[in-house]
Amino acid sequence: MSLLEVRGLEKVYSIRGGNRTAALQGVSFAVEEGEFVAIMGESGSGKSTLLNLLASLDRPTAGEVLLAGKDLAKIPGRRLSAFRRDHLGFVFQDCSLLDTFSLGDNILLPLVLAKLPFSEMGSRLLPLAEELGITKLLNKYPWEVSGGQKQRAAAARALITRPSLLLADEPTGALDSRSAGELLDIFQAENREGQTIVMVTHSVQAACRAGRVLFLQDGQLVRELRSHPGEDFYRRVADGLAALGKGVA
Amino acid sequence: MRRKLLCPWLAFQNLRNNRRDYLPFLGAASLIICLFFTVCNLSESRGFARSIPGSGTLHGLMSVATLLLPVVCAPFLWYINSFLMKRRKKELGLYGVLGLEQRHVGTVLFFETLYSFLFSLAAGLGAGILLTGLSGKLLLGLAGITADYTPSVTPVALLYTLGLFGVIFLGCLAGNLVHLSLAAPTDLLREDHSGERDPRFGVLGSILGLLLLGGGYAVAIWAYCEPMLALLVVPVFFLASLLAALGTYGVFIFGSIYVLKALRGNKDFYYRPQNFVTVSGMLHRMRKNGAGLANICLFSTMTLVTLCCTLTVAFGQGEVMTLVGTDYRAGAVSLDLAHIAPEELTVFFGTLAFLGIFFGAAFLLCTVLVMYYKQITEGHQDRDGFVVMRRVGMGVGMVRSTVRRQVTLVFSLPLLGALLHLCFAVPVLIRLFDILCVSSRTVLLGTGCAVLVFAGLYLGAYLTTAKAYYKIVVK
Ligand SMILES: Nc1ncnc2c1ncn2[C@@H]1O[C@H](COP(=O)(O)OP(=O)(O)O)[C@@H](O)[C@H]1O
Ligand SMILES: [Mg+2]
Repeated sequence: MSLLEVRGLEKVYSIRGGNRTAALQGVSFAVEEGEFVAIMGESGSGKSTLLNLLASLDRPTAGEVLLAGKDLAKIPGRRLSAFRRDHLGFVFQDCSLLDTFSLGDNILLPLVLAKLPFSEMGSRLLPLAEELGITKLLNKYPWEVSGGQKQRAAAARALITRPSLLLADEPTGALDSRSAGELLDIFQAENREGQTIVMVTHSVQAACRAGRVLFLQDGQLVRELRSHPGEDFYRRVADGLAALGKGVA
Repeated sequence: MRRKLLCPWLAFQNLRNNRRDYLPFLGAASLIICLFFTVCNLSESRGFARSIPGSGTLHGLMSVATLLLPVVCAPFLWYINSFLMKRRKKELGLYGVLGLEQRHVGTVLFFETLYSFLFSLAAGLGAGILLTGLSGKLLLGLAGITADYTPSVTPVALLYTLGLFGVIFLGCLAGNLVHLSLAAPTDLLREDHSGERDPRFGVLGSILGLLLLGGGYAVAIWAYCEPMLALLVVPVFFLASLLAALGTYGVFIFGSIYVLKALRGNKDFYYRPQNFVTVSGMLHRMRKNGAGLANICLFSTMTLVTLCCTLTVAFGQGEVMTLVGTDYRAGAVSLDLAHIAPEELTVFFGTLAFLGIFFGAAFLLCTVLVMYYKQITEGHQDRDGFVVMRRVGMGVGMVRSTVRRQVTLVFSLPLLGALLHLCFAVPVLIRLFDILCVSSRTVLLGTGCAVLVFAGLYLGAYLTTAKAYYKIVVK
């Protein structure tokens, strides 16, 4: 059984005035445990919509999302936030750290919401912060650190619950290329330790770090690439993206 | 669009687009204008002077009131105005980015202020003029005057109102322009993180605040116990108020942060879902705007004291009237009841009650509005935070209870402060009312009723505001 299974996913937005946008149409794919999958597409292709559905932050118009065999649509609303907290971690482009908390407290937030004892929190936070190189920043506030450092803290917040699936929406979108590289190094390292990751992005630099890249165009999956050891995956992903533009996918 | 008309048109659009923020402000300004005009008009009414015995007293009291009302209301309107401006920082910054010169933005602000002024003036004066007859009857009724006389609109009162509020709105405009010129476009666009660090001299500030507060309270008690101070009871009352007000700022701005940090230091307490969000949220809030809660506390105190005096005057009138003609004296400087005309006394008490109602309404309005704006502003600031917390697994139920807790805290802290202040104001009020020969029992009765009335109104304001806040945050 795959960790994540998506079957015939569809999302239609109805806007005021009766206009309807089909943001996703018939999207199906599966993610195995321990995989690092990137979903690539131009802006407006439906990446964020897809990720929000995987995160159970939104409900699909049709189709289903199964996490470890469990249908997200069947989880009752009041259990949903607890489920999200226990099984999913998120990193967003706007990194969404809270200004009211220090970085350390930002990272601990999901554990506090899960009502873990404080001693347990400390023993999870320190090694993780060490790994991500933000130990010295734990007492600083979000506005006092750089974008790359904030995004690493956001990654720590996503990882500290030890989620079965890490979801990332354009995590490098607001970063310079060096900070982006550092964050992607962290993702790859976590993946090597067994963390399953699904990341949506429009950047080739980010996508080529994944083991598998799915291409999304106008709300449909149109192509899939797998990396092979020793090859220039960057080139193939870039070519794949260029081919999309020409419509020869 | 003709270039010359661009700024007036933009100003109009701005007010329209921000109407949810501006309408309460304009409403309050209108009401204050209406109150001021009414008091001023009655005080200037020539007909009054002739038709009423004891009208000298009436005129004197009303004149003092026309001087005092703007002293309270002008800073209040400026305060709300600066609130509104701060909320529009991004918008103003955007103008700069879009290539509008500061000069033009200034012109837009000028027109905005002009429209606001004209609107509130029209609404306030309109209501005031329409209600002239009614307010006159109310005053006459309270003052026990049966003269068949209806006051008319006096041009002098119109001029005073126009001039005074013209100056107040000019002050608003000046504040806005200073705000605009001090901030570079990039500053306006950037999120403002200044003042989010701990204030310097925190411990010193807390101690000083406590000392001032204690000093104010001590002066109040001293005025109660020392009969020699009876001659000076009014200045002593002001001294105590001043000390207590300064102390309030110290305690709210510095002391609150000290307490909150101590709570944060207690790990087992702090790292629980409710406390975690509330303590850090309050800390953030107090760092950013500790003076806000202090202002609300002081406005509440003022409202409470005004209500208290009004009700005491109303309750005490009958009691004092029975003493007229006797040689009863409550203290060294009491009214000479043996030689006062009963009519004059009635006019005096009636006018005081009338003014009390007007001042009470004005102060109450200030309190409620400042509270409303504070919560709305904070609601907008908190919204993104709650979105994030929902994402990382905060359930709707917990959002609801956290919001309730936060709003309740913000409301109850100033109320508790105000009630504490009132406890120490009452002894001085007892001495103050000695002058009018009103017994301390009546003062206590008035105080009790004032607290009930205020608590009811405050609760109403709390419920309305909490609803608005929750709507913003949860959407
Ligand atoms: N809340 C919404 N309401 C209406 N339409 C939306 C909404 N969110 C996204 N869309 C539309 O769905 C399409 C996909 O959007 P999105 O998933 O945000 O794309 P991406 O993240 O790839 O840039 C776009 O055409 C967008 O306009
Ligand atoms: Mg997107």
